Amino acid sequence: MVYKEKIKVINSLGLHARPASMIVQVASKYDSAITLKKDDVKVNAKSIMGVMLLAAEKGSEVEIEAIGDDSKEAVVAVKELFIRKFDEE
Amino acid sequence: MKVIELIETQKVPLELIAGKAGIDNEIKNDFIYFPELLITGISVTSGIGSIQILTVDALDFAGDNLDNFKNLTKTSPPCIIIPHDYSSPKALINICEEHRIPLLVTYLTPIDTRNRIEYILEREFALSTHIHGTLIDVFGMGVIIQGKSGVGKTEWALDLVFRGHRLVTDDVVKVIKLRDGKLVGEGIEESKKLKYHIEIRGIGILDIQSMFGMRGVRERKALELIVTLYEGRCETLTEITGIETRKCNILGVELPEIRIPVNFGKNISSLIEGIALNKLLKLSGVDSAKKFDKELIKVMKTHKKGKTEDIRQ
Repeated sequence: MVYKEKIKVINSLGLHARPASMIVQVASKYDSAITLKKDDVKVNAKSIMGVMLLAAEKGSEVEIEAIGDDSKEAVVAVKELFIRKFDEE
Repeated sequence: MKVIELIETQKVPLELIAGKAGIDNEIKNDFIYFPELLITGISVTSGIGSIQILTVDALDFAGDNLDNFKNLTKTSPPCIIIPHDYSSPKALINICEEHRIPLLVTYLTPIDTRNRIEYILEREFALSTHIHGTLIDVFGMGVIIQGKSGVGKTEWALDLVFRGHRLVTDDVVKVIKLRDGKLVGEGIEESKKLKYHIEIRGIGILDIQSMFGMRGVRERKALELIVTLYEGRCETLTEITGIETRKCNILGVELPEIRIPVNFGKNISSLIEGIALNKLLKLSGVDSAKKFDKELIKVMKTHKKGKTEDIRQ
């Protein structure tokens, strides 16, 4: 089961170490394979280095994609972090 | 600590001249007292029960006067030390015999004597506690490996010794807090006497010092890090990037604690080497995680600029 959604980065510092680690932590709770895609780069959302190397700045658009039984829940959970601005502001 | 025990440490060259009857006197505090005022007969409130070191001035003043030396006994010192190998006045010898105060002579200077005795007494009177774990010196960093029994602390410690690091103690670490707030770890009395043995399930008891010689062992080590091994998956934010480190409180001193999930196929000893090296790097002023994060934010900012310029064009 594939589920994907697009979301804008709205926290001012972008996906730096702290937000990235939050994504990894949330993503790791789900069995689905979760990826983040920005421009042409697609990375594993459960790997910290990958997420940081997306270097997704404020205003950029990221596509969250999950494949698996809990794909929808996973995407919603990760999206929720973006909406909460990673509790940074 | 008794006076005889201080002499027997052999860390200070002390020779007993008189007052042998008081050799079992208890040293009650870690203060070393220079009784220059006391010997003149002025009443003082400090230095009660402390070791006294007679300086040249004090000896010159007292001459061979019984009353002057009697003043010294007012603070009931456990022992009196004469530095520089000065000959001890008859009157002093008599007083010491009478009051059962060991009179000790050393060739060291007063300051040297004080420093050496203070070093011993500071450790004797320091706050201390016992921690379950294995203490090993990795690249000069004192690392305590903690974790439930059976998680592999000792096995990984053995592997670290194979890699050239030095074992301090296994299973029980005695931690003392020095005056400057540093923590020092060593083996408990019994393990010090039995010397550097470890027990590995399936193999039995190993004598590390015999197997590896002095390069495999170390008597004591200042503590820098705690590594906790646990079974399971990585749990919290701090462990993912290492920007914030978890702290562990020992005797009121905070030590960084790094938790490593142990699962099949991981080489814990190379991880511990990595942690120790990273700590060394941090001490030299480079925090890899923070530096990376800073650079990343900078890179993202240039992205943004690039885009707005694109739009303008």
